[in-house]
Amino acid sequence: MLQYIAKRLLGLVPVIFGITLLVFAFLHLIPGDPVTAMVGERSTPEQIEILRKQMGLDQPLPLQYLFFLIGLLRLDFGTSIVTNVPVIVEIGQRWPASFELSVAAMLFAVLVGIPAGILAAVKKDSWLDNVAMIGSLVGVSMPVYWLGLLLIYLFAVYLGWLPPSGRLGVSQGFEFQAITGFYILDAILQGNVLVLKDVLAHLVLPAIALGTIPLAIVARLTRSAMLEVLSQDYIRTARAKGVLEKWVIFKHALKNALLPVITIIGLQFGALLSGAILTETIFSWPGLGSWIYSAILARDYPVVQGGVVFISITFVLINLLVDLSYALFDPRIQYR
Amino acid sequence: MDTLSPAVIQTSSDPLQRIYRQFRRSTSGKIGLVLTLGLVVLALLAPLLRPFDAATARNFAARLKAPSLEFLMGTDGLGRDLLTLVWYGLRISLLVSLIAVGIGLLIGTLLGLVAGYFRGRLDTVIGWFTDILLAFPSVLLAIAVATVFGSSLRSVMFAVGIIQIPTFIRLTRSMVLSLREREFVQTARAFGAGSGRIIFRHILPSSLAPLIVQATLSLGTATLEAAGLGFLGLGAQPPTPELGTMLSDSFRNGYSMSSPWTIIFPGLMITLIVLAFNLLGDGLRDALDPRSNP
Amino acid sequence: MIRRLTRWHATLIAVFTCLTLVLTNCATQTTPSSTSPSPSAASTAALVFGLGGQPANLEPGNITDNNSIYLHYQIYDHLLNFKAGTTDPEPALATEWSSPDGKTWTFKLRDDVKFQDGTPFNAEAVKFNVERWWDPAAPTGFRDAGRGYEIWPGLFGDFKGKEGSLLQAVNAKDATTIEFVLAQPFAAFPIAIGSGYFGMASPDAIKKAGPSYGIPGSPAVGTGPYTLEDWRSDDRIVLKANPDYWGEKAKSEQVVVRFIKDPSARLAELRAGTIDFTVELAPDQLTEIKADPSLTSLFRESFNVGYFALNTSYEPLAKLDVRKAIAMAINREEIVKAFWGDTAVVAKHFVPDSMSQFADQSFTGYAYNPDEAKKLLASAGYDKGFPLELWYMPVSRPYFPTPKPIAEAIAADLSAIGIQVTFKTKDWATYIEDSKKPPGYQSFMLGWTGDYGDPDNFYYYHFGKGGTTDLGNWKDQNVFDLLDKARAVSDPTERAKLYGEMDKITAEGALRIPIVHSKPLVAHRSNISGWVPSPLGSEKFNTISKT
Repeated sequence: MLQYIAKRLLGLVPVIFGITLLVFAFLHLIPGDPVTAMVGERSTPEQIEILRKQMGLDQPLPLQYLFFLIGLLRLDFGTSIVTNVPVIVEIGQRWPASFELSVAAMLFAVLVGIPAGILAAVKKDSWLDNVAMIGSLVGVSMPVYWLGLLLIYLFAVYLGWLPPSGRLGVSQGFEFQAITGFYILDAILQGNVLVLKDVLAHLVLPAIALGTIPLAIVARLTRSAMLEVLSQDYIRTARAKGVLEKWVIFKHALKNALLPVITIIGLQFGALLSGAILTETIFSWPGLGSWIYSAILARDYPVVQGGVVFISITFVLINLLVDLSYALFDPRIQYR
Repeated sequence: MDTLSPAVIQTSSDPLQRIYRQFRRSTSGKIGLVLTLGLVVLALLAPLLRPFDAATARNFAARLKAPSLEFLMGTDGLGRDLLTLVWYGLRISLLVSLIAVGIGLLIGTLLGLVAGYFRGRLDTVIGWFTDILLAFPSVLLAIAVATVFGSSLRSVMFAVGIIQIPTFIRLTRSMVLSLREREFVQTARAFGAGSGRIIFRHILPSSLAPLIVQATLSLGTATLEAAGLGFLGLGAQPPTPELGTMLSDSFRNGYSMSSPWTIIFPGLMITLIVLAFNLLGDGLRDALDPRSNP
Repeated sequence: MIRRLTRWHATLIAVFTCLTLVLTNCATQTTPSSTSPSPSAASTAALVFGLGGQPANLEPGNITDNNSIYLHYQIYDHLLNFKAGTTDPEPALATEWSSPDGKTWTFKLRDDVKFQDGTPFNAEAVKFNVERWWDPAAPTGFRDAGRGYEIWPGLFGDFKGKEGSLLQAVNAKDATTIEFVLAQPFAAFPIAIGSGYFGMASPDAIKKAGPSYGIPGSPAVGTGPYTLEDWRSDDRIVLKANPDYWGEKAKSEQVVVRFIKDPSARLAELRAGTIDFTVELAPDQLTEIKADPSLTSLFRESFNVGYFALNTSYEPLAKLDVRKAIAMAINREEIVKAFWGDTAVVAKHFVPDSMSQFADQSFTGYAYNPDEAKKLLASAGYDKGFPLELWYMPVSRPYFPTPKPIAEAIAADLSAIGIQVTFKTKDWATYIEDSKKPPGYQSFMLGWTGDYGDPDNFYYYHFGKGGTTDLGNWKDQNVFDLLDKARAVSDPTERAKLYGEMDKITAEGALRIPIVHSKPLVAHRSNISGWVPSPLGSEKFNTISKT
């Protein structure tokens, strides 16, 4: 097992190298530079030239790439051109926001999707099944940002039940210290119920918007996996033996049906971490995606490079974890 | 040689009839087919049924009017009839997703065939390339590509096309790997068929079914991704009516909340298009590739 | 089987219901302000401001974005300030200023001011700040750590030691007297060095913090009405009232500045009561604000210009008649009415109305006349029109808050006289740079927001030497000379005459066709009072209170 992990980790090295190459190449193919992006109307060509030199942007590209790689090896992602903040510090502040949102979205997807999928499978071809399946098809077909806008319109503007954007309100937030950056955890650690409620309220709409597609996928997959398992011999035997139906479903069927579901949860989670740009934009969520996106627009090279590499590594590691988790759920799989 | 063609070996009855029978059994497939055909027909008929010149159509006096009998979906920020815009937006969306998936399918399948058939170093390199593309956040990749080539419909097609590639590489490669050791391929090789002939006459036709299913489903995701780029302002230039751009105009120009119809209808149209492709894809999967359900 | 399942089914439903209840319950409880108008005790003291994005940094002289300047105004003071709601200078850290020849400027400083860290504010501190911005060799400039001070050469020619540097020396004469020596007379120098970019920071704090000064997690220390308490990246900045402020003390104990990028989201927050006041709203949002009785809208007096520029190196546009025809074809009245409503005025001159005495009084732009325009085109040999690329900005700016539909409107007017328009845009990082690279864009939208109340700030950059590369090969020595002359003169009547002469040439030449002077829309909740928006784009919040 350990050997397998080591082998897989080693296999990641060329992929990550390729990612650094790709992000660097694309970034420098994009015309324009950070100075004009910052100064706007007031920039003059001479000024841009001077500042390019100052920022080391006039160095040959291979050399710049080399510096970037050497920095990476020393875990130094460089410093943002726009804000002068070390990229690693910014990542440290933003990834908890992204992570919290992704977890909330995934929880929403799993807590609603798995029961819905089970129900649909158990009551195959009933109206419930139909509603669930049509619902999930519509779910995967909706643009996230559109759903987000509709949710804001309905729940924040029209009904006024939930806050429209951001991660934390103001009236309760003052004595609150961000220790870990995970606001839910921080609020619990400090026993601050008001802040906890506020944080949760801010999470609801973006989590629903972001979680709808995984929800639909999880529901569909759970249903089909359940259907397959329910038709297997050992389930029929169990039923014939008079085992309680509830028990059949929970103990036997669900356990076996979960394997593909877990795979998809892992994959979707990785996708959520990196794909939340649009959701973050709509909800002014201070996460990684919208940060990297605005860095592309601002030509903030170190931020884009560091951010993308970080996200990609996370994504690849999550996939690895998913693969490894098979072992927990399916002892038949051997790792060599 | 023709007697060795895979379809004949796979099943004794006419495969088309079998597929048709399977497809007819799939409710979602039927709905999807009707929906897709309906949308395509609507898109094709738009210039006939609702002639419209995007360059000159505007009426500032009728800006941001709520839906009424005159304007069934209301009007946009330039006072244009939203129904017409959404209708033409449908044309653009279909076109963009078709071309984008075409790009992904063509490049992805070719690379997948090569990787799976020749194996060796080529396979390693293509596999490496696929892993990178898959690990790279796809939205960011699309944004980067679209930014490099400037804001235009063409760069959106290209950007969305690129991020479709790895899916098709993976799929084709795995198909080829299982097929290349199969009897009919081995026999063809024994008869002295060249690699090109084997790939294109034997392996590719047998891989078509899953490729078609995947391509149909990809049309859905491509529509979403293209609209997403439009929403970020990286897409079509005016006066081209593009659905994602319409949403973005409404959101960024500050009337999405006061004139909600400017977001509701373009978004509905996107959803409808994607839904049609997804339903059709499901149906096709049931018919062509019954084992790979979900 | 069915009966057994129903119980299980019921449990599931119960779980869902509970979950939904919990979620909605906690939601309704946590946003009291949206359901009941009386906010909790803690929030009465705190003023919540919705800003369009996070500031670049809190380091004076090293910023150009408006988001930063809002915060700089709270933390820092400037040598001089501008009277509320106007562009007229008034004393701030400097009590008086004068120059015998427009070249040597002497500022008398207040002697009772301390920085928020307790260190004294004096002439040495001013010198320290100015040298950081101006002198590339200043050890505390941290240029090797990526500091650019881009605005300095933008307003004052160039850095120390360069040929174009307007500033020649900065001397601390005594503790309360600072002297600036310029290379040539510059009448607007006090208001330029007093503009929002150049807050006075504590030298001590800068030396202590080093290159991390003014970034999130680091200090920013000025003399202003508020001190920096906390900065959470991309989320908020918390400011606390400075109890020792030398001027009018802050009316609110605390200001929380939240960063919310999109105007739709900002207005949604304002309506929900989760922010108290916000800026940079889109004109179309005025109806929404007016419809909500708990909101009040305000405008900044217009101090900007949005223009449509024509590049003479594109052959058809080299002819004056063609440019005139374009100016006549654009229905500016209708465009301004459609996209701004009451939040803008049609631009009569390149400079805003408050400075119209510095414009050509006899000419107020070509009147809308498409028939005459067609005739002019025909006489210039373009009776069938010609293709034209129209570039519009990819971002919202105060002068063109919604550039895209405005571009579409301009294009519609142009196509009415037979010109075939193609739309073009690039992202902001390259838009301006490429407009200045020969041959530039054929035609483009752009604009300017004034940094300080002097016509030089508007004219020189657009029509002076080196400022016209985006107009193609257009150059007019006469205009250059008039601009240089006006810079050195301090008598207002004489200046008005010189600028009027210069404006006549450029305005009638239809080079940068002024379209609009917009009045940026801001809004606050009705329980906020004392906010006077400045035409210059931002102001201090010490006068604002919440009841």
